Amino acid sequence: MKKAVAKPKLPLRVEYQPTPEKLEGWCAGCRLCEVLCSLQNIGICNPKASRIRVISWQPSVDVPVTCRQCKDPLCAEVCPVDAFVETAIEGVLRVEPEQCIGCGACAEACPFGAISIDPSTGLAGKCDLCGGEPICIEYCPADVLKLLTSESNRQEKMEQWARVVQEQKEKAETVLREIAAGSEQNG
Amino acid sequence: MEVAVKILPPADGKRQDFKLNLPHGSTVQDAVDELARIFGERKMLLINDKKKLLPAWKVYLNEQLISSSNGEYSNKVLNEGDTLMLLLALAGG
Amino acid sequence: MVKIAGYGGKFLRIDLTSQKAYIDSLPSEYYEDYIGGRGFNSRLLFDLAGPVTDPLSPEAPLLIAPGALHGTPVPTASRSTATVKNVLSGGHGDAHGGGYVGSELKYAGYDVLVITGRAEKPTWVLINDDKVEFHDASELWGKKIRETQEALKGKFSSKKIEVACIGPAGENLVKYAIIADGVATFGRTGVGAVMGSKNLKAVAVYGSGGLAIHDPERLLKAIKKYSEIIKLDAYLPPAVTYGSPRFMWHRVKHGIHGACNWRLGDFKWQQLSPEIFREKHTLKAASCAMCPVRCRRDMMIKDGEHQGEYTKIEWESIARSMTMGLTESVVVIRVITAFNELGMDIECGGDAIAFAQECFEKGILTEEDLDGDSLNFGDAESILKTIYKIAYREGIGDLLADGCYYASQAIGRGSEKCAMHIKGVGVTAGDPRGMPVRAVSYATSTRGSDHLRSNPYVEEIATPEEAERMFGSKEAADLKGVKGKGRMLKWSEDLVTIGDLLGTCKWAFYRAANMQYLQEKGLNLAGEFYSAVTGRETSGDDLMLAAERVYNIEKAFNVRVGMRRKDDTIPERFFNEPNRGGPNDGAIVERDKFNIILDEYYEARGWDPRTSLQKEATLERLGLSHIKDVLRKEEQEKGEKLLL
Repeated sequence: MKKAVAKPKLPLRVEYQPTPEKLEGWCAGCRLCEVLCSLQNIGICNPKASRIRVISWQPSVDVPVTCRQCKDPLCAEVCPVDAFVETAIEGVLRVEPEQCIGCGACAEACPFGAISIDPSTGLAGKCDLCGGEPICIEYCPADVLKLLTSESNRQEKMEQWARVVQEQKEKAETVLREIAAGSEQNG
Repeated sequence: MEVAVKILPPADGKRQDFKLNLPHGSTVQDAVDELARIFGERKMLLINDKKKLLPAWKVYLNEQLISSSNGEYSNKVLNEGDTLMLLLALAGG
Repeated sequence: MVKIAGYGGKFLRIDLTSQKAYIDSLPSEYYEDYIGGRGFNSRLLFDLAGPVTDPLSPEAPLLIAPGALHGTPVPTASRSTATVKNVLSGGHGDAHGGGYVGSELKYAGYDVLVITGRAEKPTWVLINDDKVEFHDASELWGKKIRETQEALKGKFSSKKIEVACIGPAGENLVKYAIIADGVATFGRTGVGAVMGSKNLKAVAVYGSGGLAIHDPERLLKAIKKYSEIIKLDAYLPPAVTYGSPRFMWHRVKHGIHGACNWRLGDFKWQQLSPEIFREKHTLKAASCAMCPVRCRRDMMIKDGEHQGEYTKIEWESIARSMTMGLTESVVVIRVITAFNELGMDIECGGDAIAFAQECFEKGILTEEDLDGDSLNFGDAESILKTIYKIAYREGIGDLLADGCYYASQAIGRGSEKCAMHIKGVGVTAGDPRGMPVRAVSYATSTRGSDHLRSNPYVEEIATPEEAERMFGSKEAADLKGVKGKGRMLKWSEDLVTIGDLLGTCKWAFYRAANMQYLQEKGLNLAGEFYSAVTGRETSGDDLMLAAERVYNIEKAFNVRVGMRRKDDTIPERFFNEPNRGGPNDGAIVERDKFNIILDEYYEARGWDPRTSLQKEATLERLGLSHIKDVLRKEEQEKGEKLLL
């Protein structure tokens, strides 16, 4: 028997969750997610039409980026033809291809660049969590993609961020002290 | 008795050092059986369906090679404090 | 246009002399007979180049073809082949890379790109779907690999393009210059020199299309199956942990370092151990396209004077560093960075420098010959200086830029004994002494010295029973054995060739810790993936046949340029001078064993053991009557037998 799942208060989304302390814990940049996403959602392998994309820079940085399933989505707000429609998952919208006119307003409005424009059709696409079981998560070899709500890892994230803030403040303090010491010498 | 085992490179990508507690008089094959038990579902990393080590694993007992050039290993009796090393003698490029 | 799922369907020919591009299609039987990648290229090279073609002339072709499955989600399908008339051997030449130019070509609709001609001035080419533009590259000329990649990628703010380019070494026609594809590399046989000879600095590709998959469900099932196997195949979990530097353990235990120009089996390797590279330099476990194994490694120098320098490192570049006598990881990273950024193959380059080092040690080359410098094994600064001299063809570098074979021919004075090459191509991988079939495998490779043209390591994983069943003798599973080894070599050459046709990885797909997995992945799953993607029901055996066909085309090309049995050999050093130190101390390659295995190999291939020429019946059996006709025609012109 399936367990009853409590309705999330915040929408679910695909989130990049590396394990930074492990060399094997990062997105490896294989781009399997891109090709599988396009295959699953538009029926062909075309990473440029994928709703998840891996952004990479040297040396050895790869970050998967996809829709954050905003509560007040700008993409839907600017869509002139109301092509963003609700899915069975609460809070998750998808683009209705029959309605989309390919104006690109949604892609421009999205702060994360998460709206894909299929170069073959010119139509917009966005992550709809593959109906609840995202194929990117299922096949990710590094297992770094997770289905989360914004709340589910909040405490952990806050602690991580707090550590960064603390480090920055300490560093700033040191720099200020050094500058002060330097000017004393010069003075 | 305690026998140390080193697996290089670590077959599961993680652990390379093992301490096995074996009854006195245990042999190399007993140690292999014990390792297979530890590896559980992933015992195929080490052994074939005849429970013998895959030929790709070269076996060293106290630094002495005990595998022949065709991958078979002699089933010696182990002693307290022995070190068994399994080396994946497998090139790639 | 051929419409098969998974393929681009078109064929793009670019002529740099006239600055024109032609879109065409390949004959439909090519898809059935040669599958893709190396298969298409080898067939096309046979037609587009001949015995008298100068590899660096305008008419010589540069072919780039993505593997048949590249661009699809098939695990490890990330590889493309660049093919040229081998700049070092004069015969068949190709190089394989795990970058993204190949899949981008497919997304643009192309299964093969052929470049001929020579631009008047430095040029870079943009392939933007159906449009091909020729651009002035004078600003890029002289730039190193990373700078070139960044400069071109930076020109396109809204598009993610993929770039194949050469560095200064390719511009200066270093005979072992590479073509860089992102951070991946087409490394061998001088493909970069051919590109440089065409005044072509870079090819940038953007493809907006997609690839159809015939049966996605079947494909996904096969992907799951592959993932299950690699968890149970002892060959692969360590790859995730250590990347390819893990092969050090293998070299240590067999004592086959080939250190200091292939002389020492015992060497100070401890500071180059897999642990050192993992702990001190690895940034993370990265991967090529679609690969769950994740053995790609960018390594960085994290402290000291050279802090922040980084490059992509593969095991073989560490191995060749030992051939130059290097023992420290930081220095090794600096040396590999220099090779990668200048755009040269460290296999041939390492062999060329080690050649000069030994000549210097023996007094064949003096400081005077070396522009006033010394060049000792393990001396980092002189090695680095020499690498730059090679790339810019300055001083002694001009000679070494032609590779150890040509350099030794120019120098003479007994230096020939120090030139470690096969068919002019620098020796790779581990020392074959004490392991006769490896020696033979280096010798029979159609592109010159190479350990990836086959998988002789099958001898380490087969049980005696498997060896008997598959290769007719239990000895084939014995490192010291001889019988069955020739048949095993033929089988393994065909097997790994499948990888080059499909674009799957030689390690993750064509190496395994036991025969069961090797066959399951390399044959059964390979067939399953290809069938699921294309809808053309194809078995592992069908792929083996296509691979054998391709191997025979390459052999025929080598026959046309004059290569015979005498060329299928290894440096005399391996026969005569014992390996020094380590577990394999005193080992040589026994000439009689070498010859027995080679005889059996030719027999298994259907080639004449005396000359190595192919038998007409063999070409007929493989459906290569066109190849046969060309050989027969050239026979008449030359008055010399090219076919039996």
